[in-house]
Amino acid sequence: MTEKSVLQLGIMPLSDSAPFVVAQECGFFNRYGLEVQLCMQNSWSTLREKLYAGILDAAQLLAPMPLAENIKLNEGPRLITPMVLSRNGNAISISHDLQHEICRLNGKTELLQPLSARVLEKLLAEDGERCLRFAAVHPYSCHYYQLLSWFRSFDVSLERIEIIILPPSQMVTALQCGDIDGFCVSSPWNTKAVRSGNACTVLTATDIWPSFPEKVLGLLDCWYESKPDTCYALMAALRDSCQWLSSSANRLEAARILSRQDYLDLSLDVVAPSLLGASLGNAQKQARQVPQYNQFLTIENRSDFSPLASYGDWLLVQMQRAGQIKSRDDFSDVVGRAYREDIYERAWEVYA
Amino acid sequence: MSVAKATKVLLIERDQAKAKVVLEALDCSSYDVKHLSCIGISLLKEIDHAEPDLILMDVESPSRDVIENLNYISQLNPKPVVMFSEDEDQNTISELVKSGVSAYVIGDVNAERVRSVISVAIARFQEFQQLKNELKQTKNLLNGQKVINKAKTWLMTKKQLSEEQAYHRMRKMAMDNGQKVEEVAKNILSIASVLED
Repeated sequence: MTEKSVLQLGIMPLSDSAPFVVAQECGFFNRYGLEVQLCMQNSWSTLREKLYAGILDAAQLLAPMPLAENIKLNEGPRLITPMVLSRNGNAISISHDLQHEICRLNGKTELLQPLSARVLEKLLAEDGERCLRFAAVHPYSCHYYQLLSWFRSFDVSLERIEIIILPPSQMVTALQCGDIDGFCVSSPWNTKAVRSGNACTVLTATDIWPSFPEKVLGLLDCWYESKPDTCYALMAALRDSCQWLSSSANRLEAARILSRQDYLDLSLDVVAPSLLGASLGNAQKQARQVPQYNQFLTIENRSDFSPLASYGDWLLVQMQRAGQIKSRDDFSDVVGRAYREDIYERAWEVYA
Repeated sequence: MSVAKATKVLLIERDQAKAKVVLEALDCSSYDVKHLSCIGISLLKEIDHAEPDLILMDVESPSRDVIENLNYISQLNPKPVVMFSEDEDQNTISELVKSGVSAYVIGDVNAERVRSVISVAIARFQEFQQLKNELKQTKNLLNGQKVINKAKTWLMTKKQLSEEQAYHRMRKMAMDNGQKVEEVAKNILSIASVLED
């Protein structure tokens, strides 16, 4: 028996909420004696506050969030992660106007994935007045850092590129109105933009970074301390779910469940592609095969789901490069406080 | 005696009816209140233009991450009241989040003013939510009644029953199966649709 058996878990309308949704629909939570209510959230800010307020027991989190929270707050309950849930899942899309501009400048009729940032550099060099505006969902997110990494890969002048924060659901409209030139967002929102006929996906996260943790399980340290067995049971259920998702044979089923009204409420042709390893560039054109677009791991290696300190260190480097922290050396203790490998190890001793 | 400058309050709310009840409740002699219902880039432009001291919005609004991270593109740096209140106990946070209100303070604002605006907002948000729930319940009740009437009519025509007999039959089925009369009515109608196809 666990300390608490009825749990409220927070998720966001994204393909990588799949470990939670599948655990619910396939009965993995029940397998470990948990009765779960999944609560779809509209913003990361509110999801985080509900964790602090104890309204949610645990939730899906952006991998950099537990680090950012521990940097901002020194006292009170800490937001921690004991487990990585998914890898990759993001992609960058640009507007049709920008696409045409790039094509014209480079004498091409279409853009092939992955698009080199060199074309942006060329575009800005051609017109000294030109500025670009991209959107990301959160400043402390892999999306934000991946955009920066892409620009930097070809020394694109960051002074002439603005990155604003918008929720995924508003990005397509912003692109359509010409308010932004492109964005980096988690699936299925790139496919949604392509299907709506307003965008062209030019590269996925795996083109920018090697396979990297994207969403993690988030909860408060005091919640874990008062309910360790509940935490281990929750982790075991999510592990089973990731294992189920790692089989490509199950991916269409996952897409079908996620597309339902009570989850993403989007059509199957929007939800399925990324889960099946397909990145649509333009609608009606051949999709690009990206097997690791939405990656969920199996427990082949003991450390597959572990929130390794090396991941945290890498994210601190990204924060420093983004100007969010002055020096990562000032925060060397933050990684150990936020990324709890010790809880992960303990959970696997309990549920080997 | 100097006249204190009115605190600039910005309410971000897409639901016009909800915005109205909050706006009406705030004393306009002490507060300079502005309401915005736009999203995306227009919202960002309008906020910069409004230069608010305090921002109020629904805790469930998708624009919360935009406001929370305004400092990335604007001079404004809103701080969530819930995270930086002086008494940071869990109950205060919980009460605010549960009430459905989120509030952000920009710059130095009189704490007493902030508290009174927030308490007004909490009261009105809750009142509005209650009205909405009542409306939903009434609608459900009406819908339920409609379904029952339809099933009753079907039984009356197919089985040549009186209205009372038809209703009794449905009620008996409901009691025998531990269901609500409305559920029985729904089942009857779904069977009816198959039979009459």
